[in-house]
Amino acid sequence: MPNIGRSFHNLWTVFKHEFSVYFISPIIYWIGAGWLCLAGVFYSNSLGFYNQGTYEVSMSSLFSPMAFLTIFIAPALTMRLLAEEVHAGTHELLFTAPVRDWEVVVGKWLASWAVMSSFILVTFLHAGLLIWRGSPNIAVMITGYIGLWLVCGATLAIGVFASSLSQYQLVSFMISMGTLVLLWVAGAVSSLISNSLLSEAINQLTITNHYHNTMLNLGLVDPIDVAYFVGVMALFLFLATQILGTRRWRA
Amino acid sequence: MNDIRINRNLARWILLGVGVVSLLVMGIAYIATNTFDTVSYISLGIGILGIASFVLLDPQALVTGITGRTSQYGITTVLMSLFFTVFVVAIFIIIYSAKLDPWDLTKEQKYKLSEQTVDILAKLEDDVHVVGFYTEQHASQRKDAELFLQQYEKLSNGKLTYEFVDPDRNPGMAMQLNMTRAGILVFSQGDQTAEASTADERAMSGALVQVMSGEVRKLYMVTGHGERSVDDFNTTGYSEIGQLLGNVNVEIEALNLLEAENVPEDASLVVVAGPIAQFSPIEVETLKSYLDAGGSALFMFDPATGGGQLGNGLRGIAFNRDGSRLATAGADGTVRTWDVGTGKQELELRGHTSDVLDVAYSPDGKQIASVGRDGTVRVWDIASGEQLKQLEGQTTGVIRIAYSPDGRMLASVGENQALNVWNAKTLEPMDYSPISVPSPLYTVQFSPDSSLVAAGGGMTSASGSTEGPIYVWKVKTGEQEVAKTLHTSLVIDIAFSSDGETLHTAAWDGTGGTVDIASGDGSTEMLYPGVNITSLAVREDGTKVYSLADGTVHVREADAKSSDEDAVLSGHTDMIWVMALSPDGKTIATGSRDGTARLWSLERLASIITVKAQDTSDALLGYLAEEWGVRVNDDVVIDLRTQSQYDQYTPIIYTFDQTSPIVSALSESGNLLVFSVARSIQPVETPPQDITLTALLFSTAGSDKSWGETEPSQIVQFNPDKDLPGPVSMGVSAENATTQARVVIYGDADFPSNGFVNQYGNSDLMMNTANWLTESEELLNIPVKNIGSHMMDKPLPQSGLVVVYVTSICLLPAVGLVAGAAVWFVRRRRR
Repeated sequence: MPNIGRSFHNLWTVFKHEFSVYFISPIIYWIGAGWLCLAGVFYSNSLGFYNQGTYEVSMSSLFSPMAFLTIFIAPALTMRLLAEEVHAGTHELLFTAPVRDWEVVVGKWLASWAVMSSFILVTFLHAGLLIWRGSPNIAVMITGYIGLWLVCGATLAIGVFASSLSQYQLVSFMISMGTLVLLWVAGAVSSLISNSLLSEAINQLTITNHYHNTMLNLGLVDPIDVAYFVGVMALFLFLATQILGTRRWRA
Repeated sequence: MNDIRINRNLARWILLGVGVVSLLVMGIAYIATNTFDTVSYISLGIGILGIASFVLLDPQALVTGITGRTSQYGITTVLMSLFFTVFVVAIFIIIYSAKLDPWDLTKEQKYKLSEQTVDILAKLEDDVHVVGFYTEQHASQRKDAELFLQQYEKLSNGKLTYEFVDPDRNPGMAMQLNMTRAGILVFSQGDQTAEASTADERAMSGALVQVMSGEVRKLYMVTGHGERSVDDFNTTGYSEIGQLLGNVNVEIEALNLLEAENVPEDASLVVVAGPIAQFSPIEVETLKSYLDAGGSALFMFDPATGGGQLGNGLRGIAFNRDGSRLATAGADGTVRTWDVGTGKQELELRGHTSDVLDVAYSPDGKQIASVGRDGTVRVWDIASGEQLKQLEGQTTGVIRIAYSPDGRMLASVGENQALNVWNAKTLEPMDYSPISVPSPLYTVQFSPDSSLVAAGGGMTSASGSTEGPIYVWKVKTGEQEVAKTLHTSLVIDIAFSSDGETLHTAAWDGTGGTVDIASGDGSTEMLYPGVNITSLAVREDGTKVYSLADGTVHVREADAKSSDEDAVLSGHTDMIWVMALSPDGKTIATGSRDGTARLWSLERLASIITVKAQDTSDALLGYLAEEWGVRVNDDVVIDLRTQSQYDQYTPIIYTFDQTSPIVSALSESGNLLVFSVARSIQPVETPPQDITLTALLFSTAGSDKSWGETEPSQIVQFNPDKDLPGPVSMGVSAENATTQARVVIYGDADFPSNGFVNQYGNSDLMMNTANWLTESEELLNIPVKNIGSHMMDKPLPQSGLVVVYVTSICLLPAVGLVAGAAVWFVRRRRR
């Protein structure tokens, strides 16, 4: 068995390095500020309705747009992850050390996921207010958070893969955003297709079908949805690893 | 040379791109439209050309591309990626086909199936197929249905299968399957089908059971006594419960027991929901035959509204022309006639569906006219005891009626703010009728020569001032002779002098007045300060008789100077509602709130006879007591425990019988019921033969907290002699072991009404009762769980809202901006 301990050590090293790189750049704070501001707008808007006492209190009205925003934020956060080193030329350093490709990919991905998770953590304040002054359905809130977290992980994995494809960050950004938009709206197309098998397949590919029905609104965690997100993460991280590997003989 | 090479390279890649795109377009078009036409052929051609030119323009590059070293690495990568992708997709497909149940974190467990459904599915023998017709709009219902049907399919071991058809996308399929409308699930087994119109367990299992058994349950709701109706959408109506029953395939129809000879054969259940008027013995017989043949019935009785016929329930009283008979209008919905000499009841006229408010004899003694709270004016034939006609006109809100002395005309007035006049022979309205007036009218009288009709009434305006107008019209033409606001209080009664030239009036504030009809002049005089006058009668010699709210009758000579000279008839201990003067002017009949009716002699100034209230027993209640052993008590249940949430007349029930299947689930789940103004229902000590009785639900224990109040008044107090101590039973189920008949009686008709049906377990109680009565035992206690209400219990004040807005939109992000700027400065400094 290859050394698991060493793998974890390497993962942790990459993770730590990347995580700190995130926070020494002002960009991340500004992206975070922008995200929080938008979150605040959506939240305040729905709070106005809840306060009237005629609508049910829920974080879902915040989760839904937040999940949508990952289409833009995930590419932004990941575009430099695997491109930068190629451009800056520092990747050679990384490769001479005894660290594997997959450890690099997963480590960086985890760092980006941790950053997005910290954005999500701040919304606990928003949720806290609702719990304090109302009686929201806690189960739905919990599954909403779990789902949002998984959506982030999956979209970030796609971003990491896009970032591995090109040395130019802008190109990575476009590729990942394009893919995410596709996966988001595919469901709309499926209703036009008469072949039911194909239309169902497209439905199953769509991100919204795996978050919005069950975890976001009903408080249910369906194994197929978890499988979808984990599958997306696994697939795209694998592909990114493969692409990273080709750099060695392409360069 | 290089240029050509570069151009050729570029060209072949471009051509390849075009070719690939073309093939893609062809593929997508085929998938989307399922056709392969000329355009597709062209795309295919372009695709092949593109790929071919890619190869042919530089074959050498291609060969090196495929066999070179970098490509070998490349191929490995591609293959690995491909395999992994296929692997991931395969696992996904496996998990998808497994249709695993989701993990439900909510406490309501909306999608968890009840044991009943599990049992039903276990008993399933023949295949059942379910088709859900849902369009895009019904996405969430479709999801709900799917979450349930997934479990149904598994528990049925594959005997139940399901599919979803979108009628918008697949109209052909929808037609083929005989879709009636979208948004429903259709269950079919062989030829049988059943529909579930909501995607919840109760409706779906209900449809399943129905399709398995092939029976429709038909429910008949009795009408004719002011009962509730499923067509009524008001707060007191039953439209919502009607919907809920409809969802489980129960058909509901109305049933008038007076018109129908028998309860229809297909009746699974007969429901009597909150009757006001009494049931006639014939109707009770019809019900009895139905129940003796093994039928089922549900009775819901609200506390008595009027105390029967006499006394408290006496609303109107009238003598006939020769003074030998008396007619009474009762709150039990009946008009009764009595022989004055013997005091015995002669006729009982039924037809009004609610309280009868006034009654009058036609001068020829052949007819009686009555007005009721049901908004009708009816004329009865005395000889046959049958209703002749229901008069047309503006009759809603009519409270008083009078015949003209010559018997030719009939007039009515009331809160409808109109005078209605009919030709008493043809019973058709006069041309000028109805005549509108600006206020409600409380009294109407014809002049002795029948040429004039007068009315009085009044109202209090928004500013608080009260006006008491009187009107006089010519009977023949409807022309108004007098319109005068005489009193500053409501005119409660009027009477013509015997020469017809003066109109005497009495008003609520204790004043009396006179109006000269020719001139229209009038004056008033305070007669009884501080006491309300309730009616007035004037004898031929001008003597006036007043009935007062203090229970006394004052007889005042025509030339009396003050009330001190009145002869006072006392005996009644409470307000006198109604009074009538016999035609010979010698006798007075009074009805009082103290529960008695009395006849007085004006000659001797003494009481002749006193008749106590409540000689008239309710045939239906009597039947239920004798043959089923259930007493529907004449009381109101008081529960002090629930006072803080509602009031003491709204018992909240949390004590149930443990064994009865109707309420056992309520008991187990700790659910509650809300009854609104209820009466107690008690099983007798020793039930009749073959009858099993179960008291189902109770108010709070302890006579200090709850009891059945027999004499409700301002002072809320338990009276051990008369009141029933808590815990008070408000519902009883009964079963006859030999006939298999089942009866359930509740002391409240409000709990399933629109205003209360969605509270706590109210709808569950009704559904379970219906299921037990129709012996659909399998469906008992399937709850429909809705995700509870999650509202903002403690809303923020405006200031708080502003704080939240500012913090979330500005402050929090500002922290981020500042932090980012700080980092930026630090980095700049570092450099």
